[in-house]
Amino acid sequence: MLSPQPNVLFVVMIFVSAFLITLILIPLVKRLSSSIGAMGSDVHKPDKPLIPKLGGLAIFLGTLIPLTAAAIIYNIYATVFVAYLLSAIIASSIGLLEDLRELNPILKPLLISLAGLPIILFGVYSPTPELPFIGQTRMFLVYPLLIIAGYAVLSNAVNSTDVLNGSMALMSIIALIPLIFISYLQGEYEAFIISLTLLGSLIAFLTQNKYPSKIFAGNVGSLFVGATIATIAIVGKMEVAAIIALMPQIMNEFHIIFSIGGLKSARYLAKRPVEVKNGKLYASRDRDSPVTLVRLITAIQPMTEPRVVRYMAMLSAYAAILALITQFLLIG
Amino acid sequence: MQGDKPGVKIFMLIILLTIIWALFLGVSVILSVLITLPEGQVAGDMFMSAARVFVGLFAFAVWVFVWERLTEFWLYRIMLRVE
Repeated sequence: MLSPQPNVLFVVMIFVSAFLITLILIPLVKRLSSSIGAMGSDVHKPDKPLIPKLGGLAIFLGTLIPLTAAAIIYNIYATVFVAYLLSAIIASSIGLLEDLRELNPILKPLLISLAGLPIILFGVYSPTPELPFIGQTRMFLVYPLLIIAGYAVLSNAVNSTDVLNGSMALMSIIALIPLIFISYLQGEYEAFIISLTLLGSLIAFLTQNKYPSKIFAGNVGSLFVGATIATIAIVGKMEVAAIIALMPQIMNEFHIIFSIGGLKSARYLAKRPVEVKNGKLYASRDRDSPVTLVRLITAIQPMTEPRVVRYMAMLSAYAAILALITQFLLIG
Repeated sequence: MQGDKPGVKIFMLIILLTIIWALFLGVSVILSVLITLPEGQVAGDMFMSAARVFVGLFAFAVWVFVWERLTEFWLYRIMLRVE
């Protein structure tokens, strides 16, 4: 696939456009959420305020509008962008449906895995991933199945970290940084442009989503971000680096599934992983409580919500460094 | 648990992440040997291909199990010091 190197002006324009479009859309999305009653409770605050929860629509449009405009105006990266556009629409639609009407927790990952189909149908993947120590491998039959599984795992992993103000956006921003470096240095410019656009959009979103949140991303946002990172990993041929950069998110997802005994809605959990007392989060000492990243972090000591988010970001930064080490030292 | 300084526990979390990373690298090597063929090698017969996939899936399941048990041990015995 033809992948021309973008010039600096194009890169700056697409990043700034994503940032500004998202920033402009946030107030509109807030109004839309309020008008249709799509509000989520901020459960870690004493008064549990209701916050507009369709903020992910601003990330979705803030990422896709500049990308689509670039694909049309410059007539480049068209096949990859059409496949990505369809994949993003599928993931976001499922998220939006979940935000408006709760989906069956078993059905949800199955539906999200459909987001991988456009990537397979348009053939914008290479079934020869590079693995640590081994180098390039051939997975002609298995790879399409891994794409389907990958979308479900990564989207749900990012979704599982959207539990504190700014946590999902900040951890995703940090996970994107090694992918931006790797894609640029390896000449995978489609993945580079998609990563940079999502980064611009997430930074704008974080200004309103950080503590105390004025808007939530919702499932529409977190599933979109997860599906976009899956696309970046596949199109940019950096599957292993993406898995390692998202290790804290994937750990969180799997431990929740294991400790609650399968795919169940978090709303119906009998025991909570953390308790809020005097504005601080305390790790539950109960063995029946689910094991989560927030519980592991608050086991260090009771701490405020913004401090937990800073620790989550620190773990993500460490995972990002491990991703770079793996890519450049062990894969080459 | 109360006696440990927060810095020590942060370090322990970093160690946990490092062990899981190392386990991932180990398993990816095992999986790549069992399931995939490095470029240039010729695929074997159907039975051998199916056997490789099953052994690979088993290795993956063992890794997930070890990872899950390790994190639980880390949370209760090292971070929270729950008996």
